[in-house]
Amino acid sequence: MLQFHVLLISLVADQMLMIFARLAAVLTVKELAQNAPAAFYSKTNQSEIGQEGGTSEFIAQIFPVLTDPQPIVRVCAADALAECLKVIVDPSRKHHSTTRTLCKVYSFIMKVFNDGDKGRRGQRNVEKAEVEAKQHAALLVIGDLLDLPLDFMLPRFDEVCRATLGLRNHSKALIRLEVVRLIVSSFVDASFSCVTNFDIPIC
Amino acid sequence: MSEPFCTRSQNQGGTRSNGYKSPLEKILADLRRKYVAAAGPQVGGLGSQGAGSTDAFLVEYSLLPWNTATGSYPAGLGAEIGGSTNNLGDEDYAELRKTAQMARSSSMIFRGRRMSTAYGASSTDWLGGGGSSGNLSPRSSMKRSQPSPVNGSEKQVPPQNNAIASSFLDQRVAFMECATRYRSGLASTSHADNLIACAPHLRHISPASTDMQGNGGSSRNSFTAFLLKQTRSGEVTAEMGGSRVAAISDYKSCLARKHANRRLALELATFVRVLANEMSLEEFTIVEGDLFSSILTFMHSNDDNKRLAGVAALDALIGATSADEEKKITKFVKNLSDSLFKASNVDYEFLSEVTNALGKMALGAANVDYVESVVKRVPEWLKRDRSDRR
Repeated sequence: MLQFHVLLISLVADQMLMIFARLAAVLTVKELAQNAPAAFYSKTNQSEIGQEGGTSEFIAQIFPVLTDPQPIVRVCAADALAECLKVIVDPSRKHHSTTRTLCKVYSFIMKVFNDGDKGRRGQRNVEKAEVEAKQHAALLVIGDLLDLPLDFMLPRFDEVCRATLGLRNHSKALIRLEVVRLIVSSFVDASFSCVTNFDIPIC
Repeated sequence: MSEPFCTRSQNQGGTRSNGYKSPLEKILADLRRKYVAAAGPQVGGLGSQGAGSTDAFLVEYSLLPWNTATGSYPAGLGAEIGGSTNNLGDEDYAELRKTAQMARSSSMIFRGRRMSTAYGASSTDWLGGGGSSGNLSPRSSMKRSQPSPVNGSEKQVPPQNNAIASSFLDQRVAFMECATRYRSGLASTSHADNLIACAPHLRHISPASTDMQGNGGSSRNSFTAFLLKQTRSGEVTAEMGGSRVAAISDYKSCLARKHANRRLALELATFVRVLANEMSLEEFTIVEGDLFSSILTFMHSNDDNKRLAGVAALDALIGATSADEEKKITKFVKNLSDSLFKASNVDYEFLSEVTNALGKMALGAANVDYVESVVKRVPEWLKRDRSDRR
């Protein structure tokens, strides 16, 4: 029994350490991308030989952290992703199309929303929590994408809008909070108000 | 012989105190006592042209009146409006607070995360433009052009002092918008800031914090409180009230600690700058070495308060003059990286402070090697399996 307890404690401690390592890593990435964008861009691109590789590979590393069970780790990962995307799409150093990278990010979002419908019918709590973490992450990433100074989201706006508003009655407060934040900050934006007629009832 | 300075600093502590005594106070008092000649006229001269613009802004920020009733500064983290908070006197702040409260009570349109074509406007602008106080960042000037309910207050000003009054009013409008939006958790471009403004208890990582119900959020934020009350499952019961109050008071003390640390760290950095000019190089090397060793002791202690104070001091000293710049940078980077990945029982606050400092270090010219080493190691950190972390 004692052994079991010790094992359990060390397991929990290890998990905590892993969480902190992830948190520290994403926080560092965020700060570097923010404060030394040129160095960050060149260093993340060194490994690539083809037209796109380095930086988007680097971004792919952040995705697993985005769905971390801890909300604070998720939001920090979303911040890091936002900073990385800003570095990549910076028009002043744009040598190749960034659409492919952005599409990867976008497909992550849509996959979550499509899986979410299945997950709602699932009964197991662990799976449910995972799906909810993914949904939260997807909402955070939508905010990141909408913040980019590109027209990338313009054709996809209606789809994202519907998917987001579909979560407005979610049982978890954090997800509802994120939906409201998206509506008031990003959706109701001058650049998008011309293309959207809110035919979806909000309440 | 040190009485005048001691009383002076005590007075300052009295007027600006927010109820937290930072461990840095002792270091600073000791330094001032030892080098009274240098401490003399410069004690009050914080945030003047001599200090870097970052420091100047932060000192200005730390001068904001601490609102004991709500336990917050009136503008929250006013980082978005950058230098625009400079050059405001005490009476201006009082007025600002009054108007901000007025604006808060009227219904406002929240404009939060929005498209920004200016990269890093909020950070690079006021870091690079040394002492350019009063320059609005592109972000806030963009906001200024938006029609906003607060703009109505401009009519109250008599038209004769147009030039000064209107520029000040624009700053004020930006300031107030920022205040209101920060309080609602919509202001920052950072998801982490937004989350913590709404649900401060989530920054403590524990198995319980994976629950996304968000109980224990700040109840003075009526918007969030409204959302949180709306739970479908009815899990919010009476006993949650207690934990919510505890979470808020905990968050208040954490903010108080952060700002007290920051203020003292900046005073310390200013004083080190003064000392560097007052002494010979040999003397200054010794003084600096002593200071660094005491700060590093703080950083590696197991006490949370001391550790945060140490990081704050290190952060502030990055921009300060040094006898041996290269050595200082190497030392700082090593200590910060060590504390980031090797320290035990860390928490979010500590990690975010440390990475902030690291980000500041990466601004320097000799950053490429450091960035490269980090970028190579990050995939390992992210993929890292359990239990192979030291």
